[in-house]
Amino acid sequence: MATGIKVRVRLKGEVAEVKSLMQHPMETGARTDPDTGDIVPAHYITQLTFTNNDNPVLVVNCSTAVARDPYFSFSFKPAMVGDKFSVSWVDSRGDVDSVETVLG
Amino acid sequence: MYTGRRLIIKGALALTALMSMPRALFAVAWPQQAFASTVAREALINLLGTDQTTLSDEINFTLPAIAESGVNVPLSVETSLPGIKSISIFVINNPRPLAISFKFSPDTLPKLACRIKMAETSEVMAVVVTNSGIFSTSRETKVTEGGCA
Repeated sequence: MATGIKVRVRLKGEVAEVKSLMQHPMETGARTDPDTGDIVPAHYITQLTFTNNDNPVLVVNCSTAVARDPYFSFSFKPAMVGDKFSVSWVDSRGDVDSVETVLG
Repeated sequence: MYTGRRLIIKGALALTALMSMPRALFAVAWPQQAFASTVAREALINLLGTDQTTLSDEINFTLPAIAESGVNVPLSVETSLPGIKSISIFVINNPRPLAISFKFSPDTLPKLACRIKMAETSEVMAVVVTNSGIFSTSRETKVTEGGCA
């Protein structure tokens, strides 16, 4: 299944360093389409969750002021080889995307 | 046949209604009022219940001093303050100052990086909520070409 989320987790001892990049226009609703002259409606990720073995390790509440194609970097512990790590988001239209990976 | 078409239309409408209720999909509350606030003080009160924060020099808040383009301003926050519950970023001069808010777990390390939009030159404030209180620090970033936020 195609996902627009890239995630890389590096294990350093029991610390997991996460870097994630996701495709999303993060439209503010203030931009005008240069071709039609119409306002491009707001369309942005509202909430994103990073989960390790079913425990949310970080929940991010976003506004239109998050840059297009959001990028996040953070770390958590404890983490170990074999842990199931996932990233999922929901946006202002109710669309969702997610990706899962196994740490190792 | 007429009944069949009705069923399809009803089904489509029900699906649309479901799709326009993203609230049902939130794991944690999305602070709508705080995000809608047009003044930083209001946004703080709506998000945290207060606009009073203690300035801290234990928050390492990094942003470019000058951003060529306001559409993509990278920032990082790292702190030695213990017991972090959340970190939120306010761009004072944005039309809606609250840009983003991170809810920490007990396992999250006190550092993160992300990218925001800035409409114009502005003070940017990092607000860190811990078990011992609410701390903050700010930086000013000059924006040469604004990114509608």
